[in-house]
Amino acid sequence: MKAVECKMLTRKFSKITVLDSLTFSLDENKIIGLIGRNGAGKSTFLKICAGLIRPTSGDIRVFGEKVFDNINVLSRLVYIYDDMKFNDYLKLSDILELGPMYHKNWDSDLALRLMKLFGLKDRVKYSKLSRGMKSMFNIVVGLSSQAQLTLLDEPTLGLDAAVRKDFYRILLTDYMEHPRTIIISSHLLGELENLLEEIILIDGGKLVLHRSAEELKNYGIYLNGRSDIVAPFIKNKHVLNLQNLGNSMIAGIENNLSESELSYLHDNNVDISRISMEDVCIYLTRKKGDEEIDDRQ
Amino acid sequence: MIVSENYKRSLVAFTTDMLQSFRKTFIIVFIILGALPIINFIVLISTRISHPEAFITSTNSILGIGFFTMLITLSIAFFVSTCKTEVLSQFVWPINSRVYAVGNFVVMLACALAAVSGVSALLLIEVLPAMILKLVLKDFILVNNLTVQNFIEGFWVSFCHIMFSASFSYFVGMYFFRHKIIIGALALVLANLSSFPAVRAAYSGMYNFIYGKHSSIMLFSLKIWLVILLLHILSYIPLKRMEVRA
Repeated sequence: MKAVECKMLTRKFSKITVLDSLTFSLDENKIIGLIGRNGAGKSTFLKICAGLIRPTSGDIRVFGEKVFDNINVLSRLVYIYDDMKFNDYLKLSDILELGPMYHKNWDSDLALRLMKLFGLKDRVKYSKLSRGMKSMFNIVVGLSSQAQLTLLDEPTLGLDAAVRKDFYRILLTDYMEHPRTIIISSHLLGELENLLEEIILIDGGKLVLHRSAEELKNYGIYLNGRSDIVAPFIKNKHVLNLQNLGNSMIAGIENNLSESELSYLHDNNVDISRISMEDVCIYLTRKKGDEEIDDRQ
Repeated sequence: MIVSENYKRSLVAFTTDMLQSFRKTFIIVFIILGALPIINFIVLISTRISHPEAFITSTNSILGIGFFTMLITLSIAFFVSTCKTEVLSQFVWPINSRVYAVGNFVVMLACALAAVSGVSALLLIEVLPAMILKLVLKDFILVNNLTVQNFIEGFWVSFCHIMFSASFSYFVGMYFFRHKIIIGALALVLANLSSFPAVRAAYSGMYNFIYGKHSSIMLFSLKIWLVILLLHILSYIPLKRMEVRA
């Protein structure tokens, strides 16, 4: 069964189209990265996935069922986002006591271990926490719920590098012990690279790319060589990025070169290196204005 | 089967969650209400000391005060519970509109019952010292019209009234926080329409339907519970298609 399946999923707010005809499906038991620029529609997609809002048109199914207002599906997922609001009256310990009541597979031991690791005091009220601490606590709830579908919307927002590293480590360890479908939206693809199995790239509400992490790692290559060699070579290629450095040129292109092309480049001393996943995503979602700014610089 | 299990788990968790959040309100209100008979007792003694010739009387006032306090407290609490921030804090957990609606009804029942029971328990704090005073002071007059029958009747009627008032606030809140301008304007129009005799008569009719003189407590109960259920059903309409947005 597919964990998430969407067909022509569209969401509009007033007249603004935030998600535009998204069609893809996600297998169960994978860690999937939802990548996109600000305003790409990542949070809206996750909110629809979590059954908080409805699509304007199209269809979304989670574990084969419609998700909006469906307690059967809602009980199997958890959605963690930046401005989560737990009851103001409740202390962290109260919230953690509610966890096993709401979530069937709640892991109280993991919750306690994470609280200790993050240095969170359970007698404090959620409303009194700083932004970073709220993110930490949200992570505690998200991971301890052990929900079959875990939706993490920018979970590391406000966390310092050390805590972010801890989080990725814990997430991976916990996922290995209890495989489930985890969708993480983030700007920091570089940090997530080694964690993700699949990547969905959306831009302006549209699906740009849906590949396995392995495929995306090999998606693009840089060609670094003399302009008179590289420029004619890339004429019929899908150019992701271009940089002129005097007589040299660095061109980022899609990695679909034949053996003969590779040997031609090799013979002409053109260096070939892989483009990082993060850079591929940046180039694929780059707006026209960005390039103009680059050109001026 | 799975659906009903999920539904049950979610409902139990939701009601526990809501009751936990009401706990503090109840503690504060009951501490204040509990202090009233104690203060009253101190006043009675000091009056006796300063004016030995005065007649001192005591009545069961805590029931009335407690009832109105709880009626207002729960009405405000359920009105506020429907606002956006509160709804957001409830939907961080896996619940749906049905769990929310049924959960609120259950919580309301539990709160109303706790309110009336709590206020009734406070009666002991009021009556016991008064009875002690009566033993000590021969001219002390203790007015106690309470019988088992009128206590039970009063308990039930108070419970019904609190349920009705809280349900009405919940209903108003459910529409008001989703359509502030429309409901605000509608409230103004309805208030101004009362100057028309026909409209005023209709309002009186509605009021009398619920609060008017009744031949039996059964008839009153039937009417008020019909209205309470209707208010909850009407509150469910906007909830059914409600999106949870920050």
